[in-house]
Amino acid sequence: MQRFLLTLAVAVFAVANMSAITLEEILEKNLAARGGMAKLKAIKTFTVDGTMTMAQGMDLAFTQSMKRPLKYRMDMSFQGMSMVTAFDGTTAWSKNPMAGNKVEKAPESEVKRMAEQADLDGVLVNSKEKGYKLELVGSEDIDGSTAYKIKVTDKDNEVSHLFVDAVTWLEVMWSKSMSMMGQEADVEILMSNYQDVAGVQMPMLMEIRSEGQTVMSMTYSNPKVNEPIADDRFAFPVDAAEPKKDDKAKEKAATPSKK
Amino acid sequence: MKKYTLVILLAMITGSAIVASAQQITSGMLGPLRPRSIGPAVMSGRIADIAVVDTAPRRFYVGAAGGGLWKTTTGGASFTPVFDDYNQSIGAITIDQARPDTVWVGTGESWTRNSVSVGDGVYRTTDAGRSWKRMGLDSTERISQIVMHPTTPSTIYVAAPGPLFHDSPHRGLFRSTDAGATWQKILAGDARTGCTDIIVNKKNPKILLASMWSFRRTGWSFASGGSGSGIFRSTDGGATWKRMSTGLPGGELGRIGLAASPVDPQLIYACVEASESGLYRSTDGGLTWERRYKGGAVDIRPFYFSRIVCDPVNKEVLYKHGIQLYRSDDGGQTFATIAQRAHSDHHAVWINPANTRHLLIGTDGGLYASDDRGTTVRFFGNLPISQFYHVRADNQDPFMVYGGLQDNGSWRGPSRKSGGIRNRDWTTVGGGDGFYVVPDQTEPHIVFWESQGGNVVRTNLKTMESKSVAPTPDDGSLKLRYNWNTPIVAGAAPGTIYVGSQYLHRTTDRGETWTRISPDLTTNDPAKLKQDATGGLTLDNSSAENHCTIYTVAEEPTNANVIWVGTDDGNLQVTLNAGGTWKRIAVPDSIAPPGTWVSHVEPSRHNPGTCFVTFDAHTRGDHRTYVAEVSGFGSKWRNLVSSDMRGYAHVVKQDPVRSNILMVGTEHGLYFSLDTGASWIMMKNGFPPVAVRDIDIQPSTNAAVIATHGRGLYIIDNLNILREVTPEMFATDLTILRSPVALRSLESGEETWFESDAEFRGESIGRDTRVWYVLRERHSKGPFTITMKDSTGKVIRTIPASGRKGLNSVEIPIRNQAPLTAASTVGGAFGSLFGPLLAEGTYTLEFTRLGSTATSTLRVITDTTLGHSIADRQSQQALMHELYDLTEELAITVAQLQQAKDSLTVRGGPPAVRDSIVSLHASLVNTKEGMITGEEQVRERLSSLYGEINSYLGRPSNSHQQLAASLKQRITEATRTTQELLSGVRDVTLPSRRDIEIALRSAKK
Repeated sequence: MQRFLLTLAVAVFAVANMSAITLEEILEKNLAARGGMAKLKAIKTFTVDGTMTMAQGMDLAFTQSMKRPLKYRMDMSFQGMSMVTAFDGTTAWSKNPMAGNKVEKAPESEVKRMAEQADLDGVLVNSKEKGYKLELVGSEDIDGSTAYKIKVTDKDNEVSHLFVDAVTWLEVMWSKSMSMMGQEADVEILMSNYQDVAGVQMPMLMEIRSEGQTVMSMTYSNPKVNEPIADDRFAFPVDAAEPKKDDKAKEKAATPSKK
Repeated sequence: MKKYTLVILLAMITGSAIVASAQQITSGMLGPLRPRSIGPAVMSGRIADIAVVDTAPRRFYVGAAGGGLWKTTTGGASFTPVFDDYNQSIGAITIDQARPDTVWVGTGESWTRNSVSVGDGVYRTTDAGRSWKRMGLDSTERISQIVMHPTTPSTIYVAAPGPLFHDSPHRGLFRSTDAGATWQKILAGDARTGCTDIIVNKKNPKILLASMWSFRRTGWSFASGGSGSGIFRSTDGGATWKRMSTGLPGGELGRIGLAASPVDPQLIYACVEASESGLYRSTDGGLTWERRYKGGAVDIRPFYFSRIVCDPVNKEVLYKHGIQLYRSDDGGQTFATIAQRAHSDHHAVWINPANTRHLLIGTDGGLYASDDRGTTVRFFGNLPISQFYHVRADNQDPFMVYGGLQDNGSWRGPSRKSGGIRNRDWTTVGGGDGFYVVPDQTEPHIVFWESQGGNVVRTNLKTMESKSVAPTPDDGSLKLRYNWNTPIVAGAAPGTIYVGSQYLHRTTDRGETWTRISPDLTTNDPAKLKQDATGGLTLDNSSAENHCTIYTVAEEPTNANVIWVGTDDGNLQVTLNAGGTWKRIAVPDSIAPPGTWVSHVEPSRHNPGTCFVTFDAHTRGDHRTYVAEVSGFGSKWRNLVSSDMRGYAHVVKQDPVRSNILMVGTEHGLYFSLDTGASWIMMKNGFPPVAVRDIDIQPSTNAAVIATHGRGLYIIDNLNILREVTPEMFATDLTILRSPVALRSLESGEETWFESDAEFRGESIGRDTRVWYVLRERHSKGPFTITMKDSTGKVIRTIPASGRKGLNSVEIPIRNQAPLTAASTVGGAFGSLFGPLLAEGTYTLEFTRLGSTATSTLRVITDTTLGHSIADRQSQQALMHELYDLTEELAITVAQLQQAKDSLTVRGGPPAVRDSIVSLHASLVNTKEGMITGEEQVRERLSSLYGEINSYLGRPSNSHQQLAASLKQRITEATRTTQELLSGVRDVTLPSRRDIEIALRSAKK
């Protein structure tokens, strides 16, 4: 009986503490749950394969690479065509065979989105230096369990909300406004299937929801840490008018993936 | 010491009873049960206020009477609801024009019609609606205006008319000088007098002008006017006030609308309700007044229309709300009717200060814009803020839904439609205010509907011919009293309809003849039957105050002789012999206060003699939720309310299949119970806390249709899933619900045309096959997948599983993987994007998570409704199989050629061989760069054919067969030629065909 009461008391205290938590404590717990600052900062480059699953079981394979500071590249192949979106820290660019297959610089709005993608640490780490204002605005039931709701205001005053699970302390959802088909739409990015990658918890499944419905999910696999990646993989091609076929593209052309 | 510890522990435990008790199921734990909004926005709904960013008029907010706050940044081309976590009745919106991301919203509409909702205070956003903070004045219930101090943004004035149905101190003019942290009431009236309008002098903000209004509703009357009403002026920022009278009418006053000219703050217009109402003008800042006009523009329904809007440039121009919209160009001496093609009943007008020809107009029927001062108007068909009273579903496939709306008639629309449910998919059934719309059970194109006060009509929707079929007095001495919202209810026997006045009437021949089957079932209280004198200063007898009437009727589903009736004056009555005799059932005080309006009766399908009842006491100022179960024909009561329910109750439904499932609609949301009312779950999952007026359950589809009074109709499609869920599942690691059955069918092509953004599209439901399961905890670490295998164990595909705590739902594509497709660097072969549909049969679904697996099955069956013979279906499947293999053969051959081409380019080789390879390759896949080249090689033709055969499940045409044969010949030949050519390459080692295939397949994974 006594033992039972004690357990209960501990539980009650835990819950009581939950309500009094501060933003700083949540950030601390989140960073610890992810593996800690040292482990995170030890990751200099990160490459991961992925599959985008869309309606009716249509899958698209891709590879994503990131390198500090703020470099990002995504290669997608489709029936022998290769699609690239990349960011070198300043310039975002893409080459899309569906849109003429020319290397094109991305508009300013896209640059910002790419910079977010390129951030290996995520919004919650060193947020101040990155120009984010964070506020703890409460807790909410996200997919059945409690998560802390953090309001994120970026340097352009754009607001999004990040949710940190109250049990695992990992990020579970980012709800934000995204430009879709030229229209602003609210989307929810759910993060799960966390996996230890070089001591850091990385979400290996991202589900994108709009109005409560899954519109796409991205499953990641084969993560590689600190493999050397040359800077020019991210840079806007020097001779953009006549893009050189790089080795990777050649490889892909010879081994077309499905679809 | 031990004892002491125990006491502390016990104290802690009781203080946290919720924590210690068994886990409560929340809406989030049932996340995939998401009501879908089908609108419509064709008739839209009542708008209470509009606020526009002056310097960027494409950014504005629309406040609905019951459907929340909507924001556009695109001039109304698209709208987003930005207030869906909060009270849905909007009274006033004010933008801080100097910092337009700051917006104040007062909840609780002030246009105090009988069906008006209730607000819960003032809210503020500082990020243009992304997040909101509640700023107090929670009990004011209704806010008509919020005005910011012209130079000090932390000073805000809030005009609160206050509660409608009861005495309250929570009304008057409030001011905050600390941006809403604290409020002071600076102008108070008596317990029934609040503030409706406030003007802060722009040049001298110490001068304030406010109008006070004395008003009251009961369930059976409305009174506008009283000694407290009047115009008051302060010259010291609200510390002291003087009543203004010079030039104003004597005697009691009613509602007064005030507006100052933006050009000249001394010039004030007022529409004053009095024994003779008039339009008044002051040129000295409100000290003295002159009557400029009397007549229709100010006489009409002051409680609904007392608002004046002054032109921002021309001080002689003003707009006055009414049934019509009025404009005066001569300082209020004459008024012209404008916006005549807009819906009637105007509540909000905005005039663009930079172009005063440009107006936005809010009405009972949605939002309009004008570019010519109101001569012509354009409608915004993208605001689904429709206010339904009731809904019924029929038994067609797909089922149709029927319902009536506040000031927007009666409508019918589809429950699903490929590509979404558009405004044009809705048919108007009848006009006036709409309530019940009841389709005939055997011929759903025969529809019973009504306009306010019991005008029952039968319409044939094929011919659109209508016949008035309301029960009439059966002798000259009887007067029938019909509620504003008169019940029309179908009985189980086809053709049987009940209609309630103070009596219950029944027809068995579609309204041709009526039988009165009850005595007066109401209290027939003469004190509540004085509707011919209702309105106060302005007589207003529209039938909205009709009382001592039958309000809800239902037959017991298993015994048509048992009929339950509830009246608006608190009588609950039952007959066991089809109306032969009636018994009034006493409602214990512990269930609802005596005489409380019975808002819904729902006899149980499962237990004879049992009825679920909701009571609505809000017309007596009591907003509590009352839901109860009465059994034994009235002998036993059980209270079903939990303390966390909010809003007065409109409807309760018991699931016809599982007796433990109940649903309740209140003024502030939808609740459901899985334990017969012992505990309640508030529906969130994208469903706003909107008034839920009615619920109908469509039996063959297991769908619940929800009628909201502000956000149109919603459908919950998967009641069958809810029926399977048990509390134990939430304590079990993983429970897979029933095995899905997939219809081997193609969703009919989505009807897509170049729809603009400006039309609402109601969400439809596809024929996706979904697997449902329950998880005890959120899955957050490690992979979690569902692998589909055929009966031989061959993997068809692996899908990421969803890892919500509680109920999950994952779409299972019933297609094979797409085939390997030949590569081309210049274009896609879109026809082969999707794999063929799975063959009929049973498949295994293997859930893999945290090292353990669980399995379920999936059955794929023929869609016999398509009407294809077995032979035809088989010939399609056979050709599909052949084309699949051909597509893969071509992919491998092309890859071989590509590899050889590349190797020979790098390392050299016989030029003749290389040239042959290049030209063969170019004849198989497109190689021309450009977006519209017109090139079509074997790969592209094969892909088109594949796509065509893959999208029709019957016999392929002879042309298809011929084309397939010729492509097959081409590909076989190309493969053979490729082998010959490659065997001629000696200096370079090339991978074998087999190696290439392996590489292609692995790249696919």
